[in-house]
Amino acid sequence: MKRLIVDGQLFQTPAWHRGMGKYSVELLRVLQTTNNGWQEISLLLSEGIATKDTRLDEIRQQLPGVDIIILPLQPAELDNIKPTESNRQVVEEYIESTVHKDDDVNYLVLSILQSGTAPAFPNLPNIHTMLLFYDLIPLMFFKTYLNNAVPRLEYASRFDEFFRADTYLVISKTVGNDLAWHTGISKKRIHTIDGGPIRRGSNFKKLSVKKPFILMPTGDDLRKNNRRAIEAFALFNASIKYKYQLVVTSYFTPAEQKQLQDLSEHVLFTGNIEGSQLNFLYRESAALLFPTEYEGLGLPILEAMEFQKPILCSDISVFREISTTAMECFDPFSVTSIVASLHNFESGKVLPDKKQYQAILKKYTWDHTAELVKNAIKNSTQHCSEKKSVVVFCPLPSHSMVGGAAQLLHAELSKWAYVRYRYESRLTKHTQRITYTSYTGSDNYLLGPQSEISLPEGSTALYHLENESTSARTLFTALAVPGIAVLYSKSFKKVWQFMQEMHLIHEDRYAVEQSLSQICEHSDDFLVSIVASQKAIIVFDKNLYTRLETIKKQLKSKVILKCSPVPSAETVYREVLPKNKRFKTIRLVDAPQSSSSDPELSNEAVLTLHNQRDGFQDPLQDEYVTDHELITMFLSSEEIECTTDSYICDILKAQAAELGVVVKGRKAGGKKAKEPANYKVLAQMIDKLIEEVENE
Amino acid sequence: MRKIKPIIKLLFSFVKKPLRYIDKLIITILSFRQEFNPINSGLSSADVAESTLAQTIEKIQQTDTFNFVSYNQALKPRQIMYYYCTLKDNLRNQLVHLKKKLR
Repeated sequence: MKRLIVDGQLFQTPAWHRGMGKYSVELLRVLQTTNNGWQEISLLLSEGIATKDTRLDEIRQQLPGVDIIILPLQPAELDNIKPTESNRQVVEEYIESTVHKDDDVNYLVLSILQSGTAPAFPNLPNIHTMLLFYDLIPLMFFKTYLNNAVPRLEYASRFDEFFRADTYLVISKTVGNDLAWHTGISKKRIHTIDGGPIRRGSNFKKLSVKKPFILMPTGDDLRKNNRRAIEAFALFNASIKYKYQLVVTSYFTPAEQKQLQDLSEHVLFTGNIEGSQLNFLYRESAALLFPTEYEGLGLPILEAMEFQKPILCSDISVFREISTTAMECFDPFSVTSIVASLHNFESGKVLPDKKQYQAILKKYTWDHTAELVKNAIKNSTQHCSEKKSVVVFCPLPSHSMVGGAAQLLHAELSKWAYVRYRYESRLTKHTQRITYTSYTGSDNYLLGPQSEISLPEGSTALYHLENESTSARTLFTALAVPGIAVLYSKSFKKVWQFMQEMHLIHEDRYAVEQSLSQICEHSDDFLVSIVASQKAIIVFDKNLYTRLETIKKQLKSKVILKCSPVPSAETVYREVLPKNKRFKTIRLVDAPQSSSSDPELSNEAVLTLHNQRDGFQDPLQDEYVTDHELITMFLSSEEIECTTDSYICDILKAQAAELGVVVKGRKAGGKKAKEPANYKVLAQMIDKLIEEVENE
Repeated sequence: MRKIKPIIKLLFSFVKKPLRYIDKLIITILSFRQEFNPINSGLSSADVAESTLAQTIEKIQQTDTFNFVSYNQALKPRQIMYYYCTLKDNLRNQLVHLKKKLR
């Protein structure tokens, strides 16, 4: 028998009323009705999450025919943030007691990042696990959403379970790309399943609104861009003698509502409304305004198309995915641009193109989604269950490009290995990304003067080495415990200096290494002991590879040397990348430069390398650029030019090339290489190396 | 932890006493601390030559391993020290707070 078991803890949270909950209900409904070959669909709920009977009735009503099972699962709470192990046991027990040996079971988790819930993937053979994924908004915009320790802890602690899925079902191609860029999951495991307008029945419940009005379905969230939209509406409305009213849906805190109301008195806040009332608003509205800065799918656009309304929306990737011509698009970060679009609408230039709308709606149907889910399952493979043990030594991902690369390797590494992390850090307040790998597993820690540097028995050490203080303890360990070293820099002199400064090595050891370096390589790059101590070394530079080979011959060492192209996170769907480029060139430079030209008018963006290990800084801001900002910048420029020879540039250049940006002065690798240089390739290389090393 | 517990108890008994007693205790503990000192490889850079490459590598690998092992062995006293310093700071803060309250 074919069975689908669904973790539906999401339905027990406030997300039931939001897009996520509605999307999931529609998905389950269609999976149940269309013939996907599943004879039975079971929905698992948690006993630990307090749920009113009325909610359970609602779920039963919306999903008739779905078997609802309440299991003694524990919720995620602050004092028990990861009850996933005990929950996994409960789920596995349930599956073992109800599933027959020859049953074909798919296990789907509806949401892994929803706070309060604690879904767990069963670790059983022949059970194919899937994760429905809506967006990575908190991770990408972590400065806004994860600024405080508690939400950050709550969010990041979920990444352990996140990486356990075999297949990731994403709601749009844009989310698919984000997932690959920010978590390093290979594109073969990501499948977009789109979606369709939410069915709300054909009831229309009247709301007292003054016509004509423009509808703005939104939420009380910075990303929804309400402020700029209302500012723009006020300017537009004043210029046409206050002809329109703006109807804003969703609940706002009284303080926020007052602030928005102060921007324009012609705004009506409806609060949370029923489906039939929303139907009424769509039907009666003159147009839809959707100014959001980021969206996972953007259901309101599809809904407005159903009602044949003119659509004014942001020019963002996910909407371009729906159509590039059917909507009037504006720059969500510019009030002037929004005003211009509103004027275009008023002058009759924005009309609903019924033919186009129909074609789009034909593509975005739930039946099509069911078909895509079916294909995704057909094309996916299960994780191997026997895992190796790897201990990764790397700079802390939050503050380092190399750490970031090591973090992106996790998704593929964790497919065949149990990974532990030993991070190295230094004092800084700047954060470039969230270190989510520290929450995968329970044996990860930051190396400091008080922490033991240890390797569990039977595990292989993987050292990510850069020429900075953040590699001192890593190299100190590598010299004594042979493993696999990944070298990002061409010289390691600085690390040796730091090792001496930190009293990890005696000063004579430094002097000996220097002499060795001069004898073996006639340079001052401190590579000899690395070659002498390691079992295998991976480099990203051909010259460095040749130099290591020479040293290897001189030492008669057995070290295995490999040269790999610099890895970059894959782009899953190239077709949704923006075609309009804002900048001609992005220049990566060494020192901060005073720019004489107006950045708004300039066709050039400059990123300065503040500190070798840190990453790049936007000279206009006193902040390091985050991964999301970097990708956005790369996507909005035609070419990238590098005037610094820092090793972290290689990582950036590879990522830029992967995103289709022309890299000036680039010899080979990345896009042009025969083998795509993604993290999967690097992980496979490491996997093979571990086997080779073990066999010797 | 078993070793640390009685010392923590002792420290807490000092809370009621003036700060200088705590400092005195810390200094006593400090004098017992065992620090990690990397060993000399016994080679000078002048000794290193192409002909002795194999021997040099062998010798420095022994040094590196010895250093690594003794680094971890010297860890416990360092951890205890770190613990005391944090505790001392905490106690100091609490006392300052209490003094303010009493005024």
